[in-house]
Amino acid sequence: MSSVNIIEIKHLSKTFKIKEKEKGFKGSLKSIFKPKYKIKKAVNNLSLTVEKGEVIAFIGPNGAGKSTTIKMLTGILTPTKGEAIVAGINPAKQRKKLAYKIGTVFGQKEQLWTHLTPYDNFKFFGAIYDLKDYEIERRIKELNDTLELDEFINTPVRNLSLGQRIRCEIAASLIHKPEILFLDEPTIGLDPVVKENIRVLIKRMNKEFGTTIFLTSHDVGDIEKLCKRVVIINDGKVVLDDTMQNLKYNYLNRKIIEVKMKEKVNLDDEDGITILKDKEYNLKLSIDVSKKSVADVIKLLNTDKIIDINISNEPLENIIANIYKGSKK
Amino acid sequence: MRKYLSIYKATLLEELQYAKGMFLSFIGTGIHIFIFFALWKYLYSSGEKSIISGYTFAQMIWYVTFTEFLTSFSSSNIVRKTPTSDIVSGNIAYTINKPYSYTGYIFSRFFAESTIKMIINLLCSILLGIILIGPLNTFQIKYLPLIILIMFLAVIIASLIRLIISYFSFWIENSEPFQWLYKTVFLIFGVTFPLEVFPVWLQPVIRYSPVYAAVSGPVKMLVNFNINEFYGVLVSQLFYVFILVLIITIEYKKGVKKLNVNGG
Repeated sequence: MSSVNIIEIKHLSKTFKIKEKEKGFKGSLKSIFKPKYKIKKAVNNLSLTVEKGEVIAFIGPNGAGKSTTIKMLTGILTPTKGEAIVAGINPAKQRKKLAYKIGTVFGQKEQLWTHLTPYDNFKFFGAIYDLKDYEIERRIKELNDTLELDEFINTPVRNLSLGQRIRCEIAASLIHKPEILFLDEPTIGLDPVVKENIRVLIKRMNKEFGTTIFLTSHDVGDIEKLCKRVVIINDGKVVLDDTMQNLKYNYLNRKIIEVKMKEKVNLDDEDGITILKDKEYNLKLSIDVSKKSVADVIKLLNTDKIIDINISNEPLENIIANIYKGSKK
Repeated sequence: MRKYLSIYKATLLEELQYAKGMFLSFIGTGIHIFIFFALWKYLYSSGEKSIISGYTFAQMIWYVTFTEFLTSFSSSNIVRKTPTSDIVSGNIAYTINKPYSYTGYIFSRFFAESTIKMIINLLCSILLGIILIGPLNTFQIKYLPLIILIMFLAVIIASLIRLIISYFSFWIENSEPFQWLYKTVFLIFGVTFPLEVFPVWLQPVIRYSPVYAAVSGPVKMLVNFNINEFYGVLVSQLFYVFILVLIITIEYKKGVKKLNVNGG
């Protein structure tokens, strides 16, 4: 099956002029009469394509340029240079037209009217997107079935729990059947059970409605469980664009070994082995498997003296953090 | 249009929750009116004239009551503060990604708030005027539709100016000093004193200014209707609506390109 690019970003850049102020009262006065500005390149020559129906994680440390990129893709900000085409539309030129084709959910911002019930909110958003009454009703039913909203669809939004509200936020952003859904930290502040539910629902709507998902999250669980592709940006540039599988395969060259020994073992850092913790009979080692195999390390420890052992992959969180750090150098 | 009606309805339901607050805020307006009442009472009783600049004492008090009534609309936070805080905080990003015009969104919300404000303030203003001075004998009911028309246009002009000032926030951090300037100019040259009170050389300046179109002109027609003057007010209002809509359209278009929303 041939793939169709739903997002095409070519050499996109955005610079901000930020006012700088020297410290103290004197600095404040000086900034009134002789203001100084600093030019910040929030997004720097970024190029990227996203295929229709893809679920992509667009991640990076704070201040990397994720949010600025999303705001340019949704037509909120005008690029300084370059161009983005989203669902065949240039967001900077046809923001309103694009709005019909995209949906946005910002975990930290509510778009729902809190005094209205989710049902009334959906009717409201349906009208905003020019849907006919019967289309709105049909869509509410579909979303109700997929996102399981029945229990609280007639409760004012202000009385909903955070998890219920996020479900309704997602439903509201899907009322007009957008081709792309931009999710910015959709699970922030949610407990693990609700997080998992939200992830299942996001997956389901990608599968059932074929919606392309553009996800930004600091939650590794969201990225790992939802996305097949990861794009990492830092300082406004793409530093990694790969599949989740490759990311794990290429960057999982470290294993963590935790052992409980019968007696104290004297082990020093050596090529491929880093001692993370050494407390009485307990050891925690980080092994670079490209230099030392796990079997060699176990032999070194003496298998007869091992009471308990746990071998695990390096957490994805650490891998991503290392990529962030590496890209800074 | 349906989408703006939906915003209007949703805001109306929201604002209904604060109707009690609006009623209480009229107490402040009532105090203003009472101060003007005392002031004008002193001026009318100190001289021998029963008419000052063409206004009887009753007309003057009704003039002040209704200029206060008119300005209560444009003092709305929706046109005065919401756009500024949206722009400065970056919250505008979550509103302008919908398929409607931001100015249309603000105005739909403003009209919803004004609907409730109009009912409360109109009743309170009439009641207060009757208590303070009694009925206005020069008021002619047959001109009511025309008066409603110019009152409506007056509200539009004042709120457009407020919104234009709010949009200054695209360029400057705080537009509040300009709002204060607007309020002061309108208070002195429109709310407190009718046009005829000012020196003759200043009167044409005021007559052709937005202050007359948005405050003194329409209220003058309420207290003393004159068909020729009505046409003058109407033409001036239509002119200002056209100019202000043009300004706000260009201003927003240029401003939104300068939008600087950080974070994330």
